[in-house]
Amino acid sequence: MKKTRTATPRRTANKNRKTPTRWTTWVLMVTCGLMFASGFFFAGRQHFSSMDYGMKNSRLRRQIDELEAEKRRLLLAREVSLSPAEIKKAVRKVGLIDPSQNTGEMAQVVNSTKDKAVPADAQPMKPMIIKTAAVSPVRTAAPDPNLATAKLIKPGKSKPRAE
Amino acid sequence: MAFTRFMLVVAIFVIWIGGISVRLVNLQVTQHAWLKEKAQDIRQDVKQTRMLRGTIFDRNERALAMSLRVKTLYADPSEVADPDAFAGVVAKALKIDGSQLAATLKQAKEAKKRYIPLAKKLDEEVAQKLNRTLDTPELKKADLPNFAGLHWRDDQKRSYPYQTLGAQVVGFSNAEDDGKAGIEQSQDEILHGAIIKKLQERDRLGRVYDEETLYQRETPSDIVLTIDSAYQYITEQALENGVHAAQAKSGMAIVLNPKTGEILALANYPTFDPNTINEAAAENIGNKAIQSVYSPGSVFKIVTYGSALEKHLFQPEDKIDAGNGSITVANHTFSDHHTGTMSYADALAHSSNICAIKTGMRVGRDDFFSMIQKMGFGSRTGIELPAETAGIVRNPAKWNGDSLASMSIGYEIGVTALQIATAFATIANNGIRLQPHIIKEIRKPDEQPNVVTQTTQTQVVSPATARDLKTMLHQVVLAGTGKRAQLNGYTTGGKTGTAWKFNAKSKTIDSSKYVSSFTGMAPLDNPQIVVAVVMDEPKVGARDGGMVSAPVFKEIAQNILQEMKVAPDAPIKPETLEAKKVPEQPEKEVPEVGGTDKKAASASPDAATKPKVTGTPGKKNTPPDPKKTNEKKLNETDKITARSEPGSNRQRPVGENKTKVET
Repeated sequence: MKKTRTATPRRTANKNRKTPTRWTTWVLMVTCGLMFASGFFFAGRQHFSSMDYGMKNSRLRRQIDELEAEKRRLLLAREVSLSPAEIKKAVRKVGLIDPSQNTGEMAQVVNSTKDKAVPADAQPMKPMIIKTAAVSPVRTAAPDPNLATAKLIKPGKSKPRAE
Repeated sequence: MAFTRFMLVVAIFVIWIGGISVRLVNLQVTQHAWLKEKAQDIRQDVKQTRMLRGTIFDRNERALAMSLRVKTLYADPSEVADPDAFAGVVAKALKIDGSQLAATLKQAKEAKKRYIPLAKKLDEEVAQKLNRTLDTPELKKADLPNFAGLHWRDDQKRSYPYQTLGAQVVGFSNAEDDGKAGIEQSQDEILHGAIIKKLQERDRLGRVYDEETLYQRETPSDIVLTIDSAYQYITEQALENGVHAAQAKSGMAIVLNPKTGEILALANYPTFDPNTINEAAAENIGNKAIQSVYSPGSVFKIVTYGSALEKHLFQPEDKIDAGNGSITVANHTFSDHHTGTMSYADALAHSSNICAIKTGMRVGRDDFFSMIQKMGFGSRTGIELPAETAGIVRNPAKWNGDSLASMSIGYEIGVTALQIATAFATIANNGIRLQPHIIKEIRKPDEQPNVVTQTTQTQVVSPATARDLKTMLHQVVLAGTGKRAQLNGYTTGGKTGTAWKFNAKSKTIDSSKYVSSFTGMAPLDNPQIVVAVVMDEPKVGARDGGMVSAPVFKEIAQNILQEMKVAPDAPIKPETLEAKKVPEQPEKEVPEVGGTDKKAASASPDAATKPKVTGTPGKKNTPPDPKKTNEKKLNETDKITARSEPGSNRQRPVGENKTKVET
């Protein structure tokens, strides 16, 4: 006897049974794929943002170094301006008399030169700044006739002491 | 059919993926090593930077020496394609010789050198200017300047903002950042900037995105000195004025705090500017105050009288007989102009050599030598400066018959100015000797400062001895050889010293050259400062310590005590408080009175006779009259004008007897 194939209701039933599973699988696969891809994007973003922060960090560090260097330069400039040599320059520039030149009561070498004598037609000196007691001009006294007076001799080769 | 097509597609995929896999394995396994090295080479860069050298401050935080970041421009010949064209452009920008630069580059390229410095230690402003000048717009380079073959290297430059102030104390460092003198040398290890190595990761445009420190030594420390720049300036000015006035070869001055051993000022003249060290004279760079040895002369009598007081051999008011002004010890005759009986205080005040010798002989060799050692002579003080000398003190076993007598008046012994200052500081500090020091703090960044504490204290003489010595030293200034050291408003004590110089070449005493000194303390009851002034080879006037060094002491002490706001302990002369108006018309010039009082000038009380110069018993040995040697010189050139004492309108002529000077 020839076996005949039965009708396809069983195949149809099988077919109907497979359809919901296929959609679920596809959805699952897509979801996993999306998670996988987004992970890559996230990791990529982390990587490039860390590089970006690194560069910003490096720029800030360089800025700190530059500011430190600038601070030192300003500190040095301040110290230079406070140094006695610079103060003396400023004093001379302004035209004030340097008081350190007239301190002390030591014997000093003074040139007896003609240019110190006041010329007859000299204009009267303008009133100068009143000095404090620490700076007192040399006072000369009338000559004692009993003492031998030295002759006023012109200076030799030596130069006057720089003040 | 469908199956065949399917298998064909699968086969294509398999071949494709297989090919990719093979390539991946080839790159990541086979060629892994050299690819990694190449990537690292491109990405990573090791940068070496030297840390800035430590700063040296004074006690008030004024920077005496500091370093700045600068840049050095260098060329890498391996990156230069055409040396001639390169040299042409660069030489024009740097204003240097182009042909020489081109020759240097060619030579360096052949020798495969990678570093040719072109401009050293340029500051930021100049560097920016050069960057703009040398910019090549079409070139994309990671670092500046944007010019092929040129690079900047970080460097540092040492600056001394106060120039000559305290130059011998601070010292200087060379281009390689090595200290060569002063504190820069002695503390080089803690000041020295070590090299830091940093590993930098760069992107393709050269931007740094990661940095890691590979090697770092301890950061350099800053040093705070005990020096006060204001006091230092006062001392240097007074010393300079004194050296010029006395026409001395050089001078040195030390200001010490006797209670703490801190050195407030240490000056040498002539001096130098560390910023222009190439122009400095070699003899000015050394610190003579600790490196130069000299015979102290009468200043050393504090040791003589101190040791006698310690042995209770006399009281200051006891009498001593100077006899006829001469004494013979071991066939050598010592003499001076003081004769007759006087108190011990007067003997020191007027610097009687006979009395000092008699006192020294009473003390005895062993006790005298012991006191010399306890006072610190013959050994280094231990100050934190380089090349300090111990001085010359011979062992008693090597002394001659007259050595004790000579040493009693300050001969046959070599001392430094610092040793003398320390000895006086011992007396000022009630007999307690403190080690002098010049470093106050050593400071590391972000750490607690390490304050230098006093470590060694020695009771050298009893407080009673110190008190008696102070009384005697006070007499020196009131009525003796040190009248020119009197201060206004402060009690002072001190001692003058005048000694012939020892000529190292001929190994004999040179009686035409003097070392004149004055060391003192003020105020006497509670001394705040000890000042030692030493003048080398003064040429003017009597040249003794009272004439040339005492006025310098006065200027230094007066100004510093006022600056310190120390309360006066003596009456202030009212004349000095009055403001004096400078007249509109200058006063009529009066011919100067040039005194040539030979008698007063030749009677230099501190100029002790050197026993070995003449050996004839009974014959008076007097120092040569300095006036005779210098008189001609003075008459030919300039006159000396003495300033008047405050409140006095009378001019004091040169050479007038000191006893007439108002106190």
